[in-house]
Amino acid sequence: MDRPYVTVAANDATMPSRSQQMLDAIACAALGLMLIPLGCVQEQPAAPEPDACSLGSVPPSPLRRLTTAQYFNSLRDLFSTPDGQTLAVLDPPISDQLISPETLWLPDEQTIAGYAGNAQGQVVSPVLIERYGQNAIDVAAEIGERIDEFLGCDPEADPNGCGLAYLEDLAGRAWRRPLSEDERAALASAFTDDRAQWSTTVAVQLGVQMIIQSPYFLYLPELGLTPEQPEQEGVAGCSIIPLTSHEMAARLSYFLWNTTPDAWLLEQAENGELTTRESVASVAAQMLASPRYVDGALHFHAEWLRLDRIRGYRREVLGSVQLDEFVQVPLLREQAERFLAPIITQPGRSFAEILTSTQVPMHAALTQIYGIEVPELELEDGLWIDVELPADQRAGALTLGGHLSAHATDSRANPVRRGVFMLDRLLCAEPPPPPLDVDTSIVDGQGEADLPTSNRERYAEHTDNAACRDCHAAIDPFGFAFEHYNAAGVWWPQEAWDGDPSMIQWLEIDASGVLDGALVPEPLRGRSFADAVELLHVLAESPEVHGCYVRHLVRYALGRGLDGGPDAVDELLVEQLAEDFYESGGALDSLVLAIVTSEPFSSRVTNHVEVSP
Amino acid sequence: MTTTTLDRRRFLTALGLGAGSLVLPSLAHRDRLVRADPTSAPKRLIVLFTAHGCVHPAWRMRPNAEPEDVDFELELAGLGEDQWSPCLAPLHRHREQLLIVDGLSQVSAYLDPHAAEPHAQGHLSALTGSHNDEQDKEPRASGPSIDQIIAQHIGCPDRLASLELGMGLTVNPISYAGPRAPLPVELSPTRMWERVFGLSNASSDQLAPLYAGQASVLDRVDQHYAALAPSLSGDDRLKLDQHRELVRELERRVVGLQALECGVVAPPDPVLTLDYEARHQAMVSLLAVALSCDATRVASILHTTMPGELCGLPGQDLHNDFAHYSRSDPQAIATMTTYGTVHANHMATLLDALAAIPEGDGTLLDNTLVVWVSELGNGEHAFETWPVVIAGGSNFTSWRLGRYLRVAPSTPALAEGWQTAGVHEADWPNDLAGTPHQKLLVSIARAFGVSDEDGELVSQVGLDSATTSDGTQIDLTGELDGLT
Repeated sequence: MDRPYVTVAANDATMPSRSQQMLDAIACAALGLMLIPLGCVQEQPAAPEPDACSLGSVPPSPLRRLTTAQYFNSLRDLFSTPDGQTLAVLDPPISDQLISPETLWLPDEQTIAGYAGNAQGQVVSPVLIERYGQNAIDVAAEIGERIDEFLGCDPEADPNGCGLAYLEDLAGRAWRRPLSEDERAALASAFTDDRAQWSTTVAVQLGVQMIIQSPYFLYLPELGLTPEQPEQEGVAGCSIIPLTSHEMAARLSYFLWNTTPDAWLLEQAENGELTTRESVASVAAQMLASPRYVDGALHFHAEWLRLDRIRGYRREVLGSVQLDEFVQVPLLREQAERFLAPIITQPGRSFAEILTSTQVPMHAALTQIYGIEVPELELEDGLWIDVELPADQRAGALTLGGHLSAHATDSRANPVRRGVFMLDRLLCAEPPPPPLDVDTSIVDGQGEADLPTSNRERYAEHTDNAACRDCHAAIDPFGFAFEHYNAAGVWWPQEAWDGDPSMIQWLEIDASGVLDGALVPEPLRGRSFADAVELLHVLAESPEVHGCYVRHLVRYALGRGLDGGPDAVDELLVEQLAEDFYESGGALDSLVLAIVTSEPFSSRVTNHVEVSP
Repeated sequence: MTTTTLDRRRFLTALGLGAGSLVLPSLAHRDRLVRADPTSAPKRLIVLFTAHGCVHPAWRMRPNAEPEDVDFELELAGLGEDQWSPCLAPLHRHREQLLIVDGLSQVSAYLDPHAAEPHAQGHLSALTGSHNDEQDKEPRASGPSIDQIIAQHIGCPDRLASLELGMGLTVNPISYAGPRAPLPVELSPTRMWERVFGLSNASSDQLAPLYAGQASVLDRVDQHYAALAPSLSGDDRLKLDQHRELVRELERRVVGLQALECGVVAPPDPVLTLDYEARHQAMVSLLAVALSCDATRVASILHTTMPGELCGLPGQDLHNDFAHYSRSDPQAIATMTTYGTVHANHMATLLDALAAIPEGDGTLLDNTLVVWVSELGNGEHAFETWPVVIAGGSNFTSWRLGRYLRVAPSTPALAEGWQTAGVHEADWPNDLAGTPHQKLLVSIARAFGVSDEDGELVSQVGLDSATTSDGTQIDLTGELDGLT
C-alpha cells in the first residue's frame, strides 16, 4: 500500500502501539475524529493523494436503516413514562406471526449472512412503508389516550409550553441530535395548523406520527462535518467523512445497546465527549457496564450463531424424546441467550467459554433433552437454574439443544448443516453450494435401507465422489463430530436405525475425525479429535477462530460486508484486532473497545469518489 | 363508510373460515355489485407457488401412451375424471378454465455461473427468468419478477400494487421489485386483513383524525426526504429516493384504501388460522374479496414445504426424507404424489373462490389469470419437468383454455452427459432439454399488454440467452407457442 500522506497523531493512548503500523496504512482512507481539522482531499492538489484516498482499499459505508429490533427498541425507549412504563402497544413484545392486529409489526427483514443491519441488504418495500405509517398511528393513538402520563403536563392547558415542547424534545431524542432552527419552525408551524384543524391533543399525536416516520429516525444519516459547522469547512467534499459527535453517539448506541442513545449519551455528544479516541473509549466503557449492553451484545451473538434458526421445527426423532415446538423451541432459544449473556458481558470472561462452558441455564421443560435428573433442584416451570452438564458430553453454545436441533433435519442429525455452520461462523470459510448437476439425493441412500447404516455411513458418498470431495472433505469432519447429538439435541451413546420398522437397532457412533480440505485454515489442517467436545476445545484455543469472530463482529459493527482485498483496510484492521484479541486471551470487552475506537468505526466513506484529482 | 346489510352478511359468511367451507356460497345468484360494466373490469394476476415441483410420472397425462418426444394437446373436456393424473385430478371440476403446460424447463437455472443451492436457485429464477446476483453469498435475483412487472403495469396508484402471501416459514423469496430487491412475504391472514381492509374498517372516532391527518404527516415527512437526499451521494440517495417514492405512494394509498368499498370484512380468527388448511382458506377468501373490490390486482401465494400431517405423516420431514427420494423410493414417490394432490386442492380452492364472485357477465376468475408453478421440476432438484397450470383470465388473454399442452423437449443439450440429470423418465429424449420457462413469462407479460421502451409488446423477461457448456447460445426470448 502506498505511503499515506496523513499519519495518525501520536496521542493515541488507548490503542496498542503495535496498531500503529496498521493505523498508518489506513489513516488516509479512514480519517479519525481526532485528526480534525486535517483536510483530506481538497487541499491536496497533486494527483497521487486523491488516489491514495480513493476507495480502492476502503469499501463504502452505505446508509443504514434501523433494523426491526432497533426500531422497536428505539420506540420503547423514546416513549417511556417518567415512572418507567412504556407503550402498551409494544408490550407484549412482537411475536413471530399470527398476532393480533392491534400489535405493532414490521414485515420480515432481508438479511445478509444472517445480519439484518447490513445496509447492503436492506430493501424498502411498500408494506414496510405502510407499516411505518400504521405503527406511527398506533403509537400516536396510545399517546393520545395517556397524554398526561407521557407528556407529564396538560397540553390543552398549555399548548406550546407542554405540547409543542414535548414534540421538540421528542424529535431531538428520536433524531439523535439537536434540531435546526428550520426544523423547530416547521414543527411549530405544523403544530399550529393541526391545532387549528383538530385539537391540541391531535396536534401532539400527528407530531408524534411525523417524528417517527421521518428519515432522521428511520435511517442513520451520517453527513459528517458539514458546512453548517464552519470550523470544519473544507472537509464536506471529501469522500471520507469523520462523524459528528451525535452521529458517533448513534453508532455507539446501536452497536452496543441496539437501541437509540439515552439522555446521558446524548449529553456526552452535546458536550463534545465523543470527539477524541480517549473520550470515545471512556464513554464506551461506561456503556459496557450498562444493563442495556446485555441486549446489545446478545443481539450480535444471536445473529452470529444464527439463533434465528431455532424456530418452528417439529422433531420426530426415532428412539428419542420429541421436541414440542410450541413449548420447547422458544425455551431453547432463551436457554442459548441465558447461556451467552454472562459470558459475553461480564468483565474477565473469555471468548473460549462460548465454545466450552458446561455451566448451562436449565428449565424444567428441557431436562429431558440433556438427560439430566435434578429433582433436588426442584425445577419449577418458568424458573431457570444453572446446572453443570457432563463435560464429556457438552461444551458451550454449539452443544446446546437449540443449535443442534436447528442444524438438523426434522428427523435426523445433519452433519452437512452442522459442518457448514462451523466453517461459516467459526472459520469464515463458507463452502459454495453443491454443483447443480450433482445428484444430491444419493448421498442419503435411503433406497438401500436393508442393511443397518449409520448416519455417518450414509454420507460416505460425499468423500467417495470426486465432485463432492473438495468441499465435503472440509465440511464432513466438522459435522460428523456432532454425531452423538440427534436431531432433538439429545446426546446418545449409540444411534437408532429405522431400516426395519419392526425393531429399532442401535448402532455404534464414530464422532472422531481429522480436519482436512482446502477450506480449513492451514494451521488447523491435520488436527484430529475424538468427538465434538474435543474439537470445540481445539477451536476455542485457535487463533483462526478468534480471527473469524473478530471478522463477524467488525462486519456487524460497521453494518456492511468487509472488503476482502489483500491491501484492504478492513483486512488490516481485522488482522490487527484479531492478533490483539487472541493475545489478550479472548477478552471480549477489550475487543469491543478496540473496534469502537478504530478508524472505520469513527468515520464514513461515501459511496463514490466525487472529488476529481 | 357506508355498508349495506347485504354486504355484511355476504362477507361475514365468506369469512366464517371454517376449514374447507365453500367460499362466498351466496354470491352465485346475487346481483353483481363491484363492477357493473364488464369491459371495465380490471385484469388481475395470481401466482400460486409450491415447493418441490411434481412427481412427473404422476402429474403428466398420457391417456394414449403418447411418447415423450412428441408434441400433442388434449381437450380436457374429453377426458373422464379417472383419466386424469393423480396430481391434477383435484382440478377436474375446473377443467374448462385450465391450460396445463407440460414440457417447460428452467434451463437457464442449470446454466447460471453463480448458481445457488437448487431450491434458492429455483426460487430466484422461476418468476424473474434471471440469474443469481448474489450479495455477500446471499442468493438474489438480478431482475424483477413477473408479478411485479405486471403490478407496475396495471396497479392503481391509490391501491395496493400487489400482495405477497406465504404459507409456512419463507426460506427464499420469489417476488422481486427489482434487482436484489426481494419483497417480504406475509404469513398471517390477520396481518393481511389489516393491510387490505384495516383502513376502510377503522371505525373509532378517536382515531379518525390520526388517519385523516396521516396525509399531511406524510407531506411533512416528504420534506425531510427532500432536505436529506441532496446531502447524500450515489447509492444512498437512490435508497432514500426509493423510500421517498414509496412514502408518496402511501399518501395516495391511504386515501384510496380508506375509500375502499369492500363491505364489512371481518378479520380472520388468529386461533382458527393456526391450522394450515384454515389459514390457506382464509388467505384465499380475503384475496378474492380484495381483488373483487379492486384493493389490489396482483398477488403471489408462496407455499414452502407443507407439514407432514397434510400428507398423512404427522411430524415427518417431507422435504429431506421424501422429496429428495421422489424418483427412486416407492414410499417417497407415493408421498410426494399425495403432496402434489394436496396442492392441486389448494389451487382448486383458489379457483373456487374466484369463480364464486360474479363480475360482468361472468366471474372474477374470467378477469384473473392464475398461474401455478414451482421452484423445481421435481423433489430431486431437477429444473426439467417444470409443472405449469394456468387458469382463468379468459376475458383478456387470447389463450384457449380447457386444454392440456405437451411440449416435447427440443432445447439442445445443456452440458455433456446432461440429458437425464434429475429427470424421472427413462424414456426422456436424449440430449434435449425442455422449453425455456422465460417464454411463459413473456407470454404472461404480453397478455397484460406490457410493452418495452419502443412501445412494442415485450419479447424478453429476465435473461435473453444462456450459454451451454459447449458454447451454444440458447434463445430465451419470445412467446410460448401453443397458448392461443
